[in-house]
Amino acid sequence: MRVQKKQITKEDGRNLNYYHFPETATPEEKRVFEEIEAPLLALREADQKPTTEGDTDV
Amino acid sequence: MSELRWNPMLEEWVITATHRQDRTFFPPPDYDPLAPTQPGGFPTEIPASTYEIVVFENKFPSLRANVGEASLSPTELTPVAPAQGVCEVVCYTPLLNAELASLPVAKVEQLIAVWADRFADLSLRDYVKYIYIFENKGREIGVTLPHPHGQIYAYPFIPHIAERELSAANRHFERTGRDLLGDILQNELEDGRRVVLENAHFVAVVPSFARYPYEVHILPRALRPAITDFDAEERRALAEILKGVMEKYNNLWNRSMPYIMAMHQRPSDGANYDYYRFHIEFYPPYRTPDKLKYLAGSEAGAGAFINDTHAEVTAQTLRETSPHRI
Repeated sequence: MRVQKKQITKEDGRNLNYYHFPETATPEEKRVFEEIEAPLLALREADQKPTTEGDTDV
Repeated sequence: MSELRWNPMLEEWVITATHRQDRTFFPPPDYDPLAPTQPGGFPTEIPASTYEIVVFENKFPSLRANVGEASLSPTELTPVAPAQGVCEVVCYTPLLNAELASLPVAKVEQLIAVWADRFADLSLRDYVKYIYIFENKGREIGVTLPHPHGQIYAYPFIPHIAERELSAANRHFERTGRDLLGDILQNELEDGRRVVLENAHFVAVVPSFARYPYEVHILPRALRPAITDFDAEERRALAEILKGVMEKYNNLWNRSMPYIMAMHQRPSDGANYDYYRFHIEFYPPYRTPDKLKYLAGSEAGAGAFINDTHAEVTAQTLRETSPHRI
């Protein structure tokens, strides 16, 4: 299963994480995720540092 | 304003969160703050026209990363501490009328991946000691926002129930060299009467000591202390058994079953918890189709639960109930 993640900061300073699953997403969901103006983040596994390399296979 | 106040009688922290008194309470049907924001529509928590799974910090958090001054001066007997932590809302469907049980297994599996990511992410914050993933479902539980959602509380301390479970597991390990939940699972499998559902990697039981009539525990067959320890096959199996248990609940009386879903796993304080087994507990409040199990005098005042049923009977009923949508 592939997972992608983006994080934005809302107007009031709260963090919001979008999770995207390319294999099951509808075209609309894909479009919306791509339009989010934030870098792709990899999912964190325990004890690993984050990367910005895009997809994570889980 | 949130703060921690120590209860010296029970030796536990109480979180006071006075700003939560005015949190959103059953908004009008045409205002769903957890729905996507539609073009031209009112802004919701999610500034996108659709979403798959989103997780965001609660607008009315009991715990927050940046804390202010406490309202009460501490004493030696009653310390007061900052309620520093994180409270997140997990929206796993953009649909108001869906629920976790109604989603495909693949979607539940995706949610498990998100839970694991949140656990790993929040574990990196040095002020977070315990991460609690849960869902309150149903008005009877006290849900104030009908849109299906779960929550994550990242506490700056190990909460009381988790602490008791960990202590019991540690004492058992010291005495026997085995993990407590593994022994409980083995007992349940040998007995068989309280097993509700099982697959290659998980077993769902009504434990012999169930406090709620239809309480179910989902136990992994392998010793895994946290959700991040499961491989892809185990996560798939967890998704399948979660959906199966939730569908059984809904099929029991042919209606959506309210419950609390509580995920118990190791703390994130960096200590060794290899003797402790991850598990999920469900607490449905109904004891019959029209009678609630209340936490009344004995439970709330003395901490002694009274269950009007035997686990063997309710487990049989659940076992004989279909795990598929009827």
